Amino acid sequence: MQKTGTDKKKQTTQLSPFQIKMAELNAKFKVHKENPMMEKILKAAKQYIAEKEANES
Amino acid sequence: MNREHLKKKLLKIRDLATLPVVASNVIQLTQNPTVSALQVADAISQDQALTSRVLKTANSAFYGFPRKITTINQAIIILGFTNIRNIVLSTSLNSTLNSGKKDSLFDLKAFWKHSLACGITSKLLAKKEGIKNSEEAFIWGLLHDLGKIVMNTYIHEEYNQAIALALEKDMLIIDAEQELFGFTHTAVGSLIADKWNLPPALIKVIRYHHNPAKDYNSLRISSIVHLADILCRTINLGNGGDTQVPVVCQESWKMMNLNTQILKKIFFKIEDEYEKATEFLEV
Repeated sequence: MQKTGTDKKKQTTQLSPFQIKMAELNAKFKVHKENPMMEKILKAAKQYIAEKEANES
Repeated sequence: MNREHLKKKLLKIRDLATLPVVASNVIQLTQNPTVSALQVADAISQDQALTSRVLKTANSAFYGFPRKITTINQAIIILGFTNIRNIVLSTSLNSTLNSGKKDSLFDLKAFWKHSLACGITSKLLAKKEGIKNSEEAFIWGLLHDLGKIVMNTYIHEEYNQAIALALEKDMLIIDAEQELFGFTHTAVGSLIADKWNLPPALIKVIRYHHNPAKDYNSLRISSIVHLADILCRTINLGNGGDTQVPVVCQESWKMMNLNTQILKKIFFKIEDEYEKATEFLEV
């Protein structure tokens, strides 16, 4: 069946589980943007998630 | 919400929330260095269900002993008083404090998962800090939110409202509790822990894990659990009633001397230990 324009759009905007995790993490830390200690925790968590993802794939 | 009425309820909670007698005896005995393993074994053996839980947990991957532990006495000798106290306390609370109500917004399973992750992380951080009996730190993390589960059990409807407020306004549950009740799970938890004669360090942690700098004498131990809570919330290990990450206390951060690399290693270690520990509470 031929895909409609909306289907195609949905397909391209669908996030992978990894992207969702990162987006959720960013949202959680949004209120702490100005805090350098929280920024370090966020950075470490992002690196951890990214390395875990790389190890699993 | 009528705060006076709630305060009266809070005093009632203090009377109602009781620790099973056997658990209470074990906690007292294991805090006394002159007590023998046999005396502790006798106390645990009074409760058949507790006995089998202790043996099951002692034989779990979390403790990782190569040969099977078959008696309580053997478990005490191998694991030591602190670990046995940890198992008895967590098992007893897991079965005692449970509202069992279907309307609950408080996800009990997610709560224990978060508590377990905090226990593991506290132990890891305590080791990093060179604390001698890092096993004790496990129970600090595991029971730091004791007040939440007590409130959810004894003022269930009101606690549901606090969770709803926290989720609706994207706020920390502690702030929602303060706004609605005028007191928080840290006060309730430490009140109950004191009544139950739990170890003094644990009482301090329950009281100050959201604000370790408030009591300088317990800064080190409260900081460990404060950071453990933040790290576990960051990587979504369980849930304690809200979806937020509290801001880290500056004094705690300085004292722990953390950086991105260390934190990343800790995240991996937490994950590794957590896998092994899920048997601890059957979460």
